Amino acid sequence: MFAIALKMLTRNRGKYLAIIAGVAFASLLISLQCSIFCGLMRLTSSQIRDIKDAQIWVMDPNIQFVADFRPLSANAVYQVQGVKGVEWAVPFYKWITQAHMRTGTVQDVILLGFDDATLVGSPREMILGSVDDLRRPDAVVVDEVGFEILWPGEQVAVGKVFELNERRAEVVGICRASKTFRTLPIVYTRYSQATAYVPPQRKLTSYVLADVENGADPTEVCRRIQSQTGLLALTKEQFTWKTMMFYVNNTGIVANFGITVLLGAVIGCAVTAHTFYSFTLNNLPQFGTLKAMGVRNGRLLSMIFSQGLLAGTVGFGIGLGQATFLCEWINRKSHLISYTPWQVLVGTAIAVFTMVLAASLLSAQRVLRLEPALVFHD
Amino acid sequence: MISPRTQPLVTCRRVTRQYGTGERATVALRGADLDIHPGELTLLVGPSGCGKTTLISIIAGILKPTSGDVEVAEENLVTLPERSKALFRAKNVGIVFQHFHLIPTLTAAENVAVPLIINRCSQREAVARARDLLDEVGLGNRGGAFPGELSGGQQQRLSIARAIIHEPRIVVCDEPTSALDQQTGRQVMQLLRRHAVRENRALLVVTHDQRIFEFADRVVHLEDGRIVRDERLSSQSSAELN
Ligand SMILES: Nc1ncnc2c1ncn2[C@@H]1O[C@H](COP(=O)(O)OP(=O)(O)OP(=O)(O)O)[C@@H](O)[C@H]1O
Ligand SMILES: [Mg+2]
Repeated sequence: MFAIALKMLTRNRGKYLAIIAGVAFASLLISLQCSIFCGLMRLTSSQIRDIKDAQIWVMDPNIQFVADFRPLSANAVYQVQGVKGVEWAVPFYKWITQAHMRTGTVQDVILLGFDDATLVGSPREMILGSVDDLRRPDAVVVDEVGFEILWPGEQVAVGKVFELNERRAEVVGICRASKTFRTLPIVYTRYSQATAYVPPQRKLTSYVLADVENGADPTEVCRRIQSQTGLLALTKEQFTWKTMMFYVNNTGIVANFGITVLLGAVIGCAVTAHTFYSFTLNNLPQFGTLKAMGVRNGRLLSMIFSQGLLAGTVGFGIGLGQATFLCEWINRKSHLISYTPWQVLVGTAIAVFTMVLAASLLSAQRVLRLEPALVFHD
Repeated sequence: MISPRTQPLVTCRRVTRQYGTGERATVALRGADLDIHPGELTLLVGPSGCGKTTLISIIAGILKPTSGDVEVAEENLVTLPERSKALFRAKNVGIVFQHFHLIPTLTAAENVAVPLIINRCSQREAVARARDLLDEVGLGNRGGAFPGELSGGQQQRLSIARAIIHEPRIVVCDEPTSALDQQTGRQVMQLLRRHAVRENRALLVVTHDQRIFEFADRVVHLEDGRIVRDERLSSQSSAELN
């Protein structure tokens, strides 16, 4: 009977393609919307992710998210170094300052200063130059996107010069950085250099980056740092979540974008359910005939479910393929960024198959209640 | 009325059937008594709306009578639970419809194989047997065709093959020839006689079509929900037709 059910589905070319297209469209819509949403949420924490060496971020207890500025005293580094389970701890400086260009224009930039000795937090993916060049005086590295903002229309090149706080900065390298939520150029330099680029002040550390000793549990170490220093210590994941939740709670992203996502999901589900439901309704006379010929309700049900499962699987596969392709395209061609964690795939699958199942159940109701005697009346 | 020697295959006693309730109720059968004997082709005739379709639906086990007793192939259809009734139909009943009711997405051979598959025969064997039967009904070369590619007469032959492939005890047909021209109608009746009337099997055909009376062993007249006349035709003329 399964073979018959599947032939009933696949040999009805037009309908079959319509159902698959419906399911594929729904899968595409749901997964794409969710991926873009996830990508957007990820943007908020890209600066945390870009620092690969450190597992722990230590900061002022009042910090809400990664783009927040609340400097720590220079002592903080030594305090953290003293905590049991901490392998090393280095200062990390982050400030927004103004770049004065030769042309007279002024541009806000994010200034990042990393530990002179270890270079923890320095850019990973260099396009031009090398991180070691940063050891030269006045040397800075600018990210690719930032270069385009600072010197619009020009080929990326080293040797460009501009001023930060009336001090010379020379571009010795270009790097690639994850897109950020607010697109500002990122200027990387050594900690000692960075502190020279800002007006004199007492507190000059934004974060302390730390790593744990082999085998130590990062969350446990964080707890220890917190109780011994009174500072807030978070693992990378915790800080990422804290940052995302800040945006969720304090901006309209979720409200605005969430509605779009929800709408996409609802439309996708409705399309799926409707196409499959109408397919089964169309086949009602054939199910009636089979019923009159002695096919039990249970077998009719399993026929409908196997049809749904096939259409669902094929459509989902195609939709996902399209979504992957589109995500790739979006990431390459636009300012949006999409990110597809496995949860999105599983969620989409659950949504789509639930819809197919619901539509199957709904249409199965009609088949089950079908009076076989009706086959004589048409 | 001549009473034949055999045990009846179908026994209907005081069968009534009412559609709907209250003001809008329609009484389709008002106490029909009917025996059908194996080895015979029985025609059920009567004016439109007299209850013919209702009666054969009850005999085929796809409709419940409102009251009365129905026994088909030693099964009491009134007391048989729904699940077992499906099984009963799958084994014992073949149905030929006026509008064929073939499954458009299955080939001729696959359509004919369906009753065997319902009876848990393997797909491969079922289709092989279906092809043999298609040969016998003159559609040997159309086994791979879809119903939409066949003429009305061919489709009806196909649906006859489907109704008999599992060797059911009773085959019921509702106006099997009314959608066909005279020539094709005769061919279809010959085919039915040849394949569906066997020693322990019976054929019951509802018709308006005077032209096919000559194929019958017996003509039962239904009027206003009751059997009003029961003619047995000379066995000789029907024997000639065989
Ligand atoms: N499903 C139904 N619901 C309500 N009334 C019905 C239903 N089926 C049949 N009837 C009524 O029952 C009566 C008998 O119907 P039936 O179809 O058995 O007649 P018939 O002899 O087959 O007629 P015809 O020759 O026109 O096919 C008719 O009055 C019909 O309107
Ligand atoms: Mg009728």
